[in-house]
Amino acid sequence: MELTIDKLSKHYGDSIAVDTFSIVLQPGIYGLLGANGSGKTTLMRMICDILKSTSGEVKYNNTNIKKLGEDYRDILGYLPQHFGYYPDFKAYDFLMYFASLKGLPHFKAKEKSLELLEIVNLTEVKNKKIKSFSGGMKQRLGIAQAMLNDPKILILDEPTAGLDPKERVRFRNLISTFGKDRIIILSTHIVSDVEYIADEIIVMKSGQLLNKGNVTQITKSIEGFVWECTVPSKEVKYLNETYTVSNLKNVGDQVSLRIIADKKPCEGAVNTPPNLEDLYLYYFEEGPAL
Amino acid sequence: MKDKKVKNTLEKYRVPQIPNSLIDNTVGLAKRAFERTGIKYEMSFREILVGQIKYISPSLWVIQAALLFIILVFLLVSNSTHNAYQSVITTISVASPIIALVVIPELAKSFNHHVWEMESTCKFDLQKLLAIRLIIIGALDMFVITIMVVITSTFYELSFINISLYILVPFNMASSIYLYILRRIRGKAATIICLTVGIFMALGVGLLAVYSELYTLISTFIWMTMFIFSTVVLVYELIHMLKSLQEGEKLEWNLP
Ligand SMILES: Nc1ncnc2c1ncn2[C@@H]1O[C@H](COP(=O)(O)OP(=O)(O)OP(=O)(O)O)[C@@H](O)[C@H]1O
Ligand SMILES: [Mg+2]
Repeated sequence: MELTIDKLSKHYGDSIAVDTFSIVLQPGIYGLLGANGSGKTTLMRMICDILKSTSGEVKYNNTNIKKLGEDYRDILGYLPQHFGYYPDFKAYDFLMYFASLKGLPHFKAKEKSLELLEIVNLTEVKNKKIKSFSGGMKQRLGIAQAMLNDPKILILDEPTAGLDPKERVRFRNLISTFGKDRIIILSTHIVSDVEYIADEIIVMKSGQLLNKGNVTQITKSIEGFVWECTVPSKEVKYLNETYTVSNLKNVGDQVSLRIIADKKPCEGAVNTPPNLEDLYLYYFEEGPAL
Repeated sequence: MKDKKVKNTLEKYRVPQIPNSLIDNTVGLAKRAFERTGIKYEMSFREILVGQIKYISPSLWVIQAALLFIILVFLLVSNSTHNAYQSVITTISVASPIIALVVIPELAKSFNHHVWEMESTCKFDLQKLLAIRLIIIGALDMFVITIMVVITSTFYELSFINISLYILVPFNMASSIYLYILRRIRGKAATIICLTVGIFMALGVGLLAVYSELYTLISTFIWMTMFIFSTVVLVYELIHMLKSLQEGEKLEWNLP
């Protein structure tokens, strides 16, 4: 199983949302990181074939997904960033409706819907109207919807938006157990959502592929740029204005700082191993993505 | 004699007691065995169509039924007015753009509620889904129109063909205009524009019908030509609407 994204571009008039993006995805969990407007949603929509690309193509096992059509959609699950529901639908109806569009036979649809409601912790409210749900509950229903047809390719656009910490953990566990023999792509701004479960991180900036690899590989690229130092509180203002500070903690009347900088930012600063959040800040702190 | 024998035998027969857990187990095993075969269950078109009927908004059935009731009341009351003929013509003329209008929210709902993105990625994509919705809605409209035609031609001295034409020509024209608006402008705005245009159209046709002699002055042949022309336009709009659903970014009428 292989999903090939081949020089994919999307132009909106003069602006370029996705810029000759190429990558080959094998089964695994991929975390798509990028600032607002970096083109994550646009890329995902093209992978789902709901948005025409300006140039380039997406291939599943070496066949263009447009050619596969229904057969491709049969193995695809998608959670859009902003999704809606019909106002008179209950949670269970919502899943049964999508199960019918996904071509599940009735007995299977019932079984699967109930199973997924349990998984996303909505069994108790399955007969409540969706409009009475909180944002996080709606989001979980959307995640269940994407998984109805047991998809081989699962695309989730900011699936953890609006989830509380407990539900975030549940979601992470769900994805890592679901993830075998599938291609799962999830976009997020929250680094910790993907840090532990993603096999590979894809960093996107201004529509381009900036970096990819597992967490150790890609954080290696900023090794030596992350510093820790403890300074008197009066120096904090200057450091904060000059450098990217990823963490700040008061220790007595001193302040302990974690700084991302190419050169040693202050006296007594020592290098520490970078984490994914440092990497994110390193790439995206210097200004807007476009 | 024979019957008794059979009865006795049947009564003698005892079903051995099997624990439910064993039954569940067997069913479970069979299900898993079936799933391993890789045989895909393919739904027939009829099955998909019937399956979708229950997902049509309940409000559509209610509104359509209420509308039909009002139309029938008007048609029957017309009998006692001094110019029954004119009254009937006015009623059916005003009714036809409205019958076409009440189904618009149903057609636009995927966009109004931003569900289209998920629907587009399902095995039966947005295009198939809307085609199915159109068939259901079209059948409903035709049902309502048939009842109107039958009632009118039974109670008044009007030919079946003429009544059908008087209803279908404005119906087709109105439907084409609504579909055009929906295709061009997506989102809630489109529905509101359709509503406004629909009401003006109903008023316009209604005013025209006051001069009901016009309807009889125009020969059946011309009505027939108008009918064929309007049907062609409607079919053209339907095809265009379904085609436009494949152009992703044009659907993005309202990125939140
Ligand atoms: N329909 C559109 N018309 C014009 N420009 C668009 C359209 N859709 C997206 N864009 C532009 O394309 C760029 C990428 O947008 P996209 O939504 O893919 O970013 P994103 O990475 O998903 O951002 P976010 O984190 O905010 O969800 C943005 O600059 C956006 O303004
Ligand atoms: Mg996005």
